Amino acid sequence: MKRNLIILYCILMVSGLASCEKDVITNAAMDSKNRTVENTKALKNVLQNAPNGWVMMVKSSLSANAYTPIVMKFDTTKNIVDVKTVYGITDPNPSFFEIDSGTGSLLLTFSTSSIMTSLFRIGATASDVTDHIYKVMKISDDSIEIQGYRSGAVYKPEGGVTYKLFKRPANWDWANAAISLDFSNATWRNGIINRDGTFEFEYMDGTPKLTLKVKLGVWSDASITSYRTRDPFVTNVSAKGFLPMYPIVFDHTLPTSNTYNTTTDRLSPLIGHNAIAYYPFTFNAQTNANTIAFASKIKSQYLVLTGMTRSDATATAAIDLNFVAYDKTGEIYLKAKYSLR
Amino acid sequence: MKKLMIMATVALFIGGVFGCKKGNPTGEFQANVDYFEVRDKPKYLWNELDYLCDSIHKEYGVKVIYEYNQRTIAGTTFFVPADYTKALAYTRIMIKGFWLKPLKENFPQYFTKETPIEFIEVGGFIHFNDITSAGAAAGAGLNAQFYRLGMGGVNNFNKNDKAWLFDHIVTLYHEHAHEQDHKYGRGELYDRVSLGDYYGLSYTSRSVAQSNLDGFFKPYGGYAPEEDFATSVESMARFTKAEVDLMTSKNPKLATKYRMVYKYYLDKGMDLHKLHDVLDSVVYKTVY
Repeated sequence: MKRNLIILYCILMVSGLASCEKDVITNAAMDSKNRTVENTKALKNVLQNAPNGWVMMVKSSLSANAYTPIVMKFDTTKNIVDVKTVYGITDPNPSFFEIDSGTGSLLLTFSTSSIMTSLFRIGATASDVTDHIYKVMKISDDSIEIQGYRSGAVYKPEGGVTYKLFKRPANWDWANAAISLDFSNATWRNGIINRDGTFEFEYMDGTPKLTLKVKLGVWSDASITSYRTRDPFVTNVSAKGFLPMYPIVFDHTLPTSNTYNTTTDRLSPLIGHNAIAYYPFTFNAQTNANTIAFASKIKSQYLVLTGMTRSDATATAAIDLNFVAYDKTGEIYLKAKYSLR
Repeated sequence: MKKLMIMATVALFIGGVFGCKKGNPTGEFQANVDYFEVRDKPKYLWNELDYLCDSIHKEYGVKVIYEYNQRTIAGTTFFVPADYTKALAYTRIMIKGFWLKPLKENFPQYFTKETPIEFIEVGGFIHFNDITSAGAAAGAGLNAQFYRLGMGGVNNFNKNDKAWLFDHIVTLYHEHAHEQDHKYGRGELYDRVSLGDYYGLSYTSRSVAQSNLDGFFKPYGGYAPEEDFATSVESMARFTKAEVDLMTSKNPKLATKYRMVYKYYLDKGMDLHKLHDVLDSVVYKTVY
């Protein structure tokens, strides 16, 4: 009988072990509708609770250290997103976004044409954005982590760059709606164009200071019209979201030189939202290359305007324009000052 | 021994019943989650275009998609949504005014049976491998599914550019012809007519006049039989009957294929010559 009991015990143990699979993987978490509803609500709250918007720092192939800031303000009552960045002035047409649930994480989608869909189309020169659909990875009160759904071309692995969005710092006044850098305005540019000035670039990472003599100018209306047919964004049917570009004349030389070489040292940067973008457009082969070379020289593809002072309204006023460029985390990486005396 | 066997059987039975919890094993889908559920935008978020799309859906049974989510696009094709204001005007004028309304009024049988139930508006064009490549081939529309049609180039919409509008609506019928081809097949007999005459990729170096002489409506029709079929439909929508007759007189093979395609559509309730007159009228002779 004792032997029988032992056998029975063994059988019980074996059947207990064999009759169920231990590695049961449940999808209970994903099946929960409440989870999606709760997460959507949390994301909406966080998006809305940044009155100045959220900042996404994207990397351009034009620079190793300076990252391009994209400032986004989400209106969750209308699902409209306002995007401001340095490559151009934002088209006032509304752009929509959607919050949707995938089979896993929440998805934040820039669902109609906007600067965000344009960056997807334009590629590496403007940014490392590879989709207009983002997986929402993490949400907290002061940061949102999103990752592009796709990483690039067909056959590339799923999942692009992960961006850690942060709330727009209060002192980033350049990202406010008001435009304070307006070369198309003859009154504003009086005393700023057609004058020799000193451009000083100071780097926070210890890179030696750079000083250049710079003369700014504007193109004729006819030239602007002509160059706009080569606008890198607006003429591209898949890349809307900016108003037609406004390129300016930018001549630079060594501080000791009295002449500008308009073949090798003339470029035509684009005016962005309170920013100058050293973004190439082919108005002739040289200036395209000159713009790329200049971005490499100053180690930034843009400068945003942080302040301006002028002694008076005349063409001979003492004027200072202060600019910065940011690093990956939104800290100042480069300070630049353009002084006219 | 017998007693032992009985005991063992009972033990196995008990072990089998209570040995593990059966709830929610791998791969068993929960009945309360619909993975294919279409989650429409809640009404409190609707804008003017959402109301317009809703009215088109109610009147014509076509769901116009201008706003993308992950259900709209595939991971391996690349295209971007249209600008909101362009999409609004495009939906009102092109989709409702030029496509669905005249289709329902003039070709009710064809409209009822053949109209796709989804239409995707694409801002730019359809890039197959990489969206950032500027020069590579891009598709004008989406036509691979029976139920869904899509057109690219919505960001180029300009209601004052009548030539563009007319070209766009006939291209829409070209893309829809591909769907009809996928759905019913253009037939082996059709493919045999110009067998051996197709240009392949060298169609780009042929003129329209030359392609007519070679048995095609346009050079692109000479690319391959499926484009031959679609460009035939497009050409009948684009040109008057007299112009089509002149083209088909250049080559008996073209005349044969023309009759086949014309009858193919007529059998489904669409007179392609009438379609030309209707499109010409709505684009060039009405106010919008």
